[in-house]
Amino acid sequence: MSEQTISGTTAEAPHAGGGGHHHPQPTSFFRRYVWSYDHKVVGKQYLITSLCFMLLGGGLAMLLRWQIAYPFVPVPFIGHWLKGMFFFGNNGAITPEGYLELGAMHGLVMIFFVVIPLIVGGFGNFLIPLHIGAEDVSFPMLNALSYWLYAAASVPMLLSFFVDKGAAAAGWTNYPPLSDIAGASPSSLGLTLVLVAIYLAGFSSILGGVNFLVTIAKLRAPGMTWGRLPLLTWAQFITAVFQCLATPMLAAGASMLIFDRVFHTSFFLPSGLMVGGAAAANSGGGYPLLWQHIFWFYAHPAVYILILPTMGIASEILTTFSRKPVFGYKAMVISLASIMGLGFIVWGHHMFVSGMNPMLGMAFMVSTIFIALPSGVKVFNWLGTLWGGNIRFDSPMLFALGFISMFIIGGLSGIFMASTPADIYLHDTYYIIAHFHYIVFGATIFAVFGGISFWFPKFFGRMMNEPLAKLHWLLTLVFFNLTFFPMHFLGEAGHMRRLATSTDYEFLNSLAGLNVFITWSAYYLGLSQLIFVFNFFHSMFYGKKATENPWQGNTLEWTLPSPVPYYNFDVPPVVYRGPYEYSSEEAGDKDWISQSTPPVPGMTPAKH
Amino acid sequence: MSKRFLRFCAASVFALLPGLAGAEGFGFLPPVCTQSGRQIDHLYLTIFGIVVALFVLTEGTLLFCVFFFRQRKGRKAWSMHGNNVAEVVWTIIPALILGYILYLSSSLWTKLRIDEPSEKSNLVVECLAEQFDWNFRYPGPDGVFGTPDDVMTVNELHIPVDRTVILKISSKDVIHSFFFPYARVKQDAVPGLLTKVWFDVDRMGVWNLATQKPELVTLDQYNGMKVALDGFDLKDPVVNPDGLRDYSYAPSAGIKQVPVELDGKITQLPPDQAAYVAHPYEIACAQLCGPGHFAMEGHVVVQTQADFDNWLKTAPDLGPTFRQKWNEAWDSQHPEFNKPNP
Ligand code: HEM
Ligand SMILES: [Cu+2]
Ligand SMILES: [Cu+2]
Repeated sequence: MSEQTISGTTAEAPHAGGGGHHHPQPTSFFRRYVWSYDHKVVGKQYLITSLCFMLLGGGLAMLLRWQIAYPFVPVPFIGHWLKGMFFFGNNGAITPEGYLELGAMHGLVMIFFVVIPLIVGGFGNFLIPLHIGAEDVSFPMLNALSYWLYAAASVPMLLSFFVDKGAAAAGWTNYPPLSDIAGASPSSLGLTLVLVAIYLAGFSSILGGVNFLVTIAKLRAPGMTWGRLPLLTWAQFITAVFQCLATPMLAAGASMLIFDRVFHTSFFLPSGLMVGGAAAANSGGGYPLLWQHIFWFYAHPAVYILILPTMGIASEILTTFSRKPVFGYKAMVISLASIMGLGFIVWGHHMFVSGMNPMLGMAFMVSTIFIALPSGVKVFNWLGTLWGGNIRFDSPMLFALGFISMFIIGGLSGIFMASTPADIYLHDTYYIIAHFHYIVFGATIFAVFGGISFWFPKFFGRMMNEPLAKLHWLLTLVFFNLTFFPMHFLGEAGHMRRLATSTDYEFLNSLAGLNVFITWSAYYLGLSQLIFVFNFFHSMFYGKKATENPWQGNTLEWTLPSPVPYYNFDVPPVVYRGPYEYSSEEAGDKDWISQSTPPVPGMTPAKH
Repeated sequence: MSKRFLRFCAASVFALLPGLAGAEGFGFLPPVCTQSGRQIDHLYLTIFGIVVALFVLTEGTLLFCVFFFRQRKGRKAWSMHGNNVAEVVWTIIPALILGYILYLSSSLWTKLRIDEPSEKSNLVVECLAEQFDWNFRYPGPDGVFGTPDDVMTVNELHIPVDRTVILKISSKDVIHSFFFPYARVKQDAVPGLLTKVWFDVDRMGVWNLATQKPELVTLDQYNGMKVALDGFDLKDPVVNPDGLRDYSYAPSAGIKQVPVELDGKITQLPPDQAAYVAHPYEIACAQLCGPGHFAMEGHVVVQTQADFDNWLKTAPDLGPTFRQKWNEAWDSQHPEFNKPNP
């Protein structure tokens, strides 16, 4: 092709976007916003789709909480409209089957359709090329394909709500035989559809992971050494390894389960299974714990997919608003890498009382206890970053501070459950629910809110409304803790999870008031999110126009106009220093210096 | 709405207080009826102490930074990239602390789950879970499972106090989880697989008729109490204004005489002569097993050895359907499940 002129070459490889030449921006609506190869458009597609699914997942949770606080009481308004449909019985109350459907779908939607696509697909796609100084990802078409696979996955998922007997109702973990034999489980076709959806979503995630690995390895701008990569990009790199190595296990497991359900194989069904009074048709030779091993071999790394990228987001925000370099960059990268290494050998901590050999339980306890160590090191380094800073409290920073303090709580509760004897008692109680919501909501979603307001200028060229963002932060922090902290008490009292009502049990009697309290906190938490929804869409169109570098950041995206132009960098950037040279000598009077600012003659840029 | 919210806050504080002030338990931990359960609680508390210290340290540092290093005019942040000594310190010290937790946990785990008590010298009970019931089976006078003299129960596990009981668990349909909260015992019931737990219950459950509250007592204490073994009904709970259910026992309708045990002797007395009623512990299913999961409740009746022996002799026969169920799902599929370990 002839217009092979403008683009420079990087130290290692030619630019992306079709091998070193610029195409003009497509003009058709379809190629520009729907089937777009532009990593920024794909990122925004992911961002907005997953935020919409968050509303769905959140809505399901509101119904769950109603049933727990007011068991079998008709749901106001909604239950009245939808009598006899979906999760509701003929009186408008949630049925036990409906409760299980709500619970399973809440978890599945939040994990596979909200958090993973949001923080990997959304933030990863948008930011990785900007952070490394590239025009796009390595395989732009694969990228579009990955988004559209995710969108396609949502079709069977959504459809499952409408089929006979409803969507999946065997927990987000889908343990067979419950998820396997038609007669045993409350759902039928819906569960198969959901498994297909998980399969597709997993496929999309693998494509994204491959793309990121290659992009980060090959498309870094000249001077962007591994030691100068922003931590968010490091975190995405390590997450991508998880995606590529763990997600295929999910595909294998889901295929086996689909085969069992549709073609009556018996991967997970032992001989002689009796459901009700009759022998289950296709039972024989399988092993139920096999699913748990396969599933958790994927799903434990998956819970790290849910947190690592946001650890990166938090690091970026903390350093920028402390006006201070990240403390212990190397230690941060090493701890990310050791979380990855250990993350592959801890899955059995979900199976301590599953019937797995107790000697194996012992081994998994050792690895699990020590995975707390790199997590701790990260916390100490974040605190070290704050120490001696000149801290500004803009909304991204408030969310990042929330991230650290909630992550601490979630990490500490993990230690109880990592101790096998304590986990005998805590397993499958609300303690687990408290633990992972502190991490996935308290930490991950907080970082997501922080990240959205931090990079909003780059996404949409405008600023979010600051007072509204701060109000949203305050209400979310308060109601989040009022909702989830008391769940530790429920768990300590032995309150089982996934229980349509606890009223059958005398030993849970004293907890009824607490459950009502939690439900109302959850409703206020849910309502507080409307502030964000409003602020997001309103600021997108009417927010204050953003300047190039509103937060005085050092990384390469802040050298670009807001919003970022089609080919990102007009002139390919050259990187001279590390990403976090805040308040350095070289910065002079300002307290920041961009990664691509050429060094002042006579002054050597910092080595980092 | 906000008034209502305040009311809920108040209600939950009420729910909190008795838990926090609990004499034997800590926080919300329910009472404990086994020696092994007490050891788990102790471990839990040790970890709790360590975790609280770490929590105060880290969150305290965070608040300190937020306050002392907030932005001020003319101040510049320190340009500091890290400190290797600090990294080593905050890796090694937490590693030692975690190592200590690991040491405590692994020794207790070994005791609870790896060193199995002998099936020859202890009471063995089989447990077959199904949607949504707990079936129990005792070997009967011949001491062998799978023979016609086996004793079967549904949703009611009878055990003698102060003895180690080994429960051999499996399931005939989906995965369930045998959860005995007061004993701090939980073990999944997996179809096709035999799992085992043991517990050493040393407290008996009684219901104080004066306070209408449950109590846990040792055998010695129990012997000094007038406990009705039968003839009382647990009435349907009444929901009080705080949203909690008030439970109470009352004599069965029209009953004149109830069996009351005192010092191991059982006499027939008028119901108002009893001060306590024998009150079984609850067991639950902790693994999602289908729509009836929430109602998969069972009970553990802890008896004196004499009462237990007597019960075993006179337990009602559940009839051929149960024999067939056990035979189809257990004996014919897995005869090896019935063999004692060496
Ligand atoms: C300090 C590090 C951590 C430790 C020691 C830890 C430990 C554990 C253990 C032992 C369990 C199983 C408990 C049980 O089911 O009985 C568990 C469950 C869980 N953890 Fe963690 N965890 C840690 C960090 C995380 C992180 C970073 C995430 C996610 C972002 C996470 C998400 C989850 C989830 C989702 C579950 C529950 C899965 C389910 O049963 O539905 N954990 N954790
Ligand atoms: Cu895990
Ligand atoms: Cu069950």
